[in-house]
Amino acid sequence: MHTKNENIDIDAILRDVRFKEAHFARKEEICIAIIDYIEADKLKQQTRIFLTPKVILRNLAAAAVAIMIFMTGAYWILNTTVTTGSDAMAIVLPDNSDVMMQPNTTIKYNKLTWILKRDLSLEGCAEFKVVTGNTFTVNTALGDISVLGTRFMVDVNGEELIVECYEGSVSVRTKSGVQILTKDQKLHYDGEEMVPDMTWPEYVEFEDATLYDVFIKMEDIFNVVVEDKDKYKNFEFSGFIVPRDINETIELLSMICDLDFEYSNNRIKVK
Amino acid sequence: MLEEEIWKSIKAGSSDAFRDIYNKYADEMYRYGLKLTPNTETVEDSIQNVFINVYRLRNNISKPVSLKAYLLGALKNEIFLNCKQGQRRSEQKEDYDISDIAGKYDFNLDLDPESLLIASENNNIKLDLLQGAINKLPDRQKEAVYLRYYNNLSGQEIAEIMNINHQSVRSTLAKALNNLRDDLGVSEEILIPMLILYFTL
Repeated sequence: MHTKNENIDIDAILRDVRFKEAHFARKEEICIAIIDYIEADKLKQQTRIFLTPKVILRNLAAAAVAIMIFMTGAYWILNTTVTTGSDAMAIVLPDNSDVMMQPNTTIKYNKLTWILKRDLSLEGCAEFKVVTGNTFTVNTALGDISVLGTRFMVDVNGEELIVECYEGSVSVRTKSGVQILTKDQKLHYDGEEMVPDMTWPEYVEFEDATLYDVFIKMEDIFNVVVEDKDKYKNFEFSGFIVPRDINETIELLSMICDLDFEYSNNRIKVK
Repeated sequence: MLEEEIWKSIKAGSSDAFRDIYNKYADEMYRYGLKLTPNTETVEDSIQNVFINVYRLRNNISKPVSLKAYLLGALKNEIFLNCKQGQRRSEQKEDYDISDIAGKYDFNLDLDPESLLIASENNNIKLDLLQGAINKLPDRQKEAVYLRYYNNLSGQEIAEIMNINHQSVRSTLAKALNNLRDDLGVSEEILIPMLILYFTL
């Protein structure tokens, strides 16, 4: 047990005692290891930035936006409008379909979207000769006309739409419904009703057809019945008939086919 | 540079900031670490781990009251963790708890033999008395005295390092000084400067 001793020479102790500092020999070496770790981790983080789903998504979004901008620009650049003045004009569409545009007619289409969809808009009157392919659609203010490959005419002026099919078949879609036109058929649409046009052309031509085909057409045009017409399915015929006059038509057939006909009470009989 | 600015740079992951704080506190950490364990390799590894952990977890760590106290406290935990892992490896024991080691550590405050030799020419007895008195202190009192008088840390900083509250720090220091005063029979005015030099090991 010690007692309090004020005579202890603390000053002498402090003068004499030399304390050895613990020397951190590897201080610099460990510092370098720590800094190396930090730098390596930073590099890894930067690399990781390029590979995170978030960054990939962001890059994809940027690419999508760029593509959209490019496509929008291309769409506007490739928008095509053709307008005729006082003269008719023939044009060729990107799929090599021919169009004969009448005066004061406008056609609009896009060369970019044409690859996917043969689609154009029409104001005025034009005749189309469409090459076979996917659906070809003519959009008008009053209705849309769709075909696969055929020849037809569309005339849209003001409140009237006239469609006439020259070859194959044509589908006409308006607010009042859908009508299919076959060769030589024609319809009028006034915005309310689609009415078949019974006005036949001056001549209806046949080439490499059969007499049976002619009789069917005559029944259609003159509203008559041709008896035993099935017998003439192999009877070849090239020529024309005259829709405005049944007697002239019969006379023409007699002369071309060397046949005699009897016509009475809306019935035609081959003798 | 203010601690506030240093902390911002640490948060930003600046290599320069880490180099600066390392150069500023590494020596003190090393000396403190060697009070907790005589194994220099463990202390060196622990110092390296402390700085790497600060870098890795910098975004989750809130600004400490004192950077120095934070680093010393982190070093203490890291050394205990290293010791625990070392013991587990050597004893193949799986159910160690860090508190098993934290509660039993030795706070080594042995004098340098060379300085003892020099001092013995004039005041051998008194220095021996001082050595003996310090040796008698419980480890936590040794640590509190060391941190207060050698590292000039505040009660709050010591509390953070020792993981005790401020009141306990004051109480531990008061007990330590009373014990030394009783053993040496000197007044506090003489004792404290003596301690400061003593702990400069």
